[in-house]
Amino acid sequence: MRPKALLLHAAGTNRDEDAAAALALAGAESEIVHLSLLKAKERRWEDYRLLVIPGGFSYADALGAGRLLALDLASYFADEIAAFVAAGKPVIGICNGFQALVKAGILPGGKVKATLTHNEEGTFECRWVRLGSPASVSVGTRGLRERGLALACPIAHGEGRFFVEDKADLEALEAKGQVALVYADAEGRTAGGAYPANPNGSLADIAGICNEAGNVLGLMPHPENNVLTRPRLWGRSLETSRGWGPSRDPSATEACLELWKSGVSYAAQL
Amino acid sequence: MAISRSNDADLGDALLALLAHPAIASKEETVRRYDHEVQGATVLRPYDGLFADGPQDAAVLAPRECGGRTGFALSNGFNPRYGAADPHNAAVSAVDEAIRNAVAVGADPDRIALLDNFCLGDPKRPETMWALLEAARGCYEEALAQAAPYISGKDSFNNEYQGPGGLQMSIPPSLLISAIGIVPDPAAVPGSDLKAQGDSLYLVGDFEPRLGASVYADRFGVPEAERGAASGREAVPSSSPRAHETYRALHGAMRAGLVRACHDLSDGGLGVAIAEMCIGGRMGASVDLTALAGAVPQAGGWAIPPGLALFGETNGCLLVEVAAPNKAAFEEGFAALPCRLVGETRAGRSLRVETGGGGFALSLDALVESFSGKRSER
Repeated sequence: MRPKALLLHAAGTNRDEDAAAALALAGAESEIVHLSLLKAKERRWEDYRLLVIPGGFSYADALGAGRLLALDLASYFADEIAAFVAAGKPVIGICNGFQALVKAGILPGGKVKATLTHNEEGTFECRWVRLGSPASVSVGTRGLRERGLALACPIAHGEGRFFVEDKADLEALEAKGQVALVYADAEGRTAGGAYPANPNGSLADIAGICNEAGNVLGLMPHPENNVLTRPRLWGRSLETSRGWGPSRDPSATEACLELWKSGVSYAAQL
Repeated sequence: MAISRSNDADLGDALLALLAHPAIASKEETVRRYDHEVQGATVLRPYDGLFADGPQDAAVLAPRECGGRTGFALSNGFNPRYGAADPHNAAVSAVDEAIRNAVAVGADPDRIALLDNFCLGDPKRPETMWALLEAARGCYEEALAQAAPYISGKDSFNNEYQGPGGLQMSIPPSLLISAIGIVPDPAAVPGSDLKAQGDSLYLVGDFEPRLGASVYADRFGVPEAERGAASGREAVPSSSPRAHETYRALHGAMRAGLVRACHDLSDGGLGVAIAEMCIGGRMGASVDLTALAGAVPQAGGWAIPPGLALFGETNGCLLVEVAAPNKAAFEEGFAALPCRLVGETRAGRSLRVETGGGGFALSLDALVESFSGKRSER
């Protein structure tokens, strides 16, 4: 049976249909549901087995990207989301969704205080990135490691710089296997803070983190935007096509789909 | 620097200067501030290629509603320097450039529609009204010649300002043409970035370079006597009579999988076009300008001085990268059309230009730095 995903829509969400398309390819049903329907209890959280908080500019980024959506998550829906997460259902927040999960305190969870702040370059930026998936507890990236696949997909954000104030918090995240995705360079090595491989100055090249249980994943890049057509390589070997430009590597597209499939298959067996 | 007196080293320096000219230099930083990936349909971006800094002729989108199997190109043609010099040929050039840009990224030349966007001063001024009429005439003629319908458009008049001494001034007659064209096979979009060593570089289209209103002239100035091609002295390129057939042949080659990279000749001419292809693919190339001798219908010998060949601007022309095994099939498609082998891609990290008098070479790093204003990291 195809599990049903709840695609949360707030005013300003713009990648809901992108995520729905990726979910369809990954074998899930999905429904784009505006927050107001959930507030009015016209939709029930327990009817869904997967939660996706897509990217966009919810509430026009007022007070900071994701901050007002985070208030919705942490106030209106605190109990529902806590129950959803506690049930082990997969949750994925992308870009603005990641910002909302972090600012609502759902990620990284526990006592660690983290944030996503303004890019080091100081501007909104849209470009392609390469990602590595270090050993972590994330159910979303498990398939990538098992199959040896590396993600390449676009970013499009102004506030994506992952930051923790206390070095011990970073160590805790690493020790608990909560660092799910890191920015990588053209050769697939961790970016080491170098721009543009690490496009926003994120601490320890962190592009995505998960909660301690591994069922909530947040990431800044958009794996839903590399699931369709890729132009051919036109005689350029993959070996010589390594750069930070848009990937033409079919395995990067496969990796993006794999991330969605991991979440969907996990939800299916719940 | 008068172009006929320049030595080959000067031509190399001029190419670097043109790559840094505001009309040509990279606008990548601005483009990156806008989300051009949302909806997951983007196949070709304004800046694409190996390091995402190779300028493309147009954007290509393959909407998920079509399963990504059919796409469309969005392109533009615009040149305010042309508008100031000759509003009629400026309009012709804008239409051709918009169509050429769409074709370069895989659009079917028989499935392209246009928008016109006129920006002029006060039409009650006689010369402004004249420019409007001339531009409208050029718009009409070239769209008819290339069988491309206008599906909409708009205009903006009274674009005026107070100049020196309170003098009422008009902007130059500025016509922007936008094109939308169906891309039947988005996976076959070549992009402008060079792909592999040892490939052939063809110049297709009737090559009739003009310098009078070129970016070269804007930067360096050009004496009156050297402004036109040998065939004519006009400042602005005129209609390229075989453009539509050339574009059809090119599109056929693309559909047959024969085109690895394609870029049109526009601002800065052949020199800037090949440099941009090298930047996009971080690939060396050599171009032989003597292969263009006689490209202009002019009897006998060396018809185009190297500077005019390199920096003259023309309508109807594109550079195409073709792999060795596909050369015969590619040339066959252009049997009755203008198509010249002008160079090849090469292993070295430099662009080499043969002029017949020693030539010059520029490193890829120098090209990237001039174009982007940043140090090349690769």
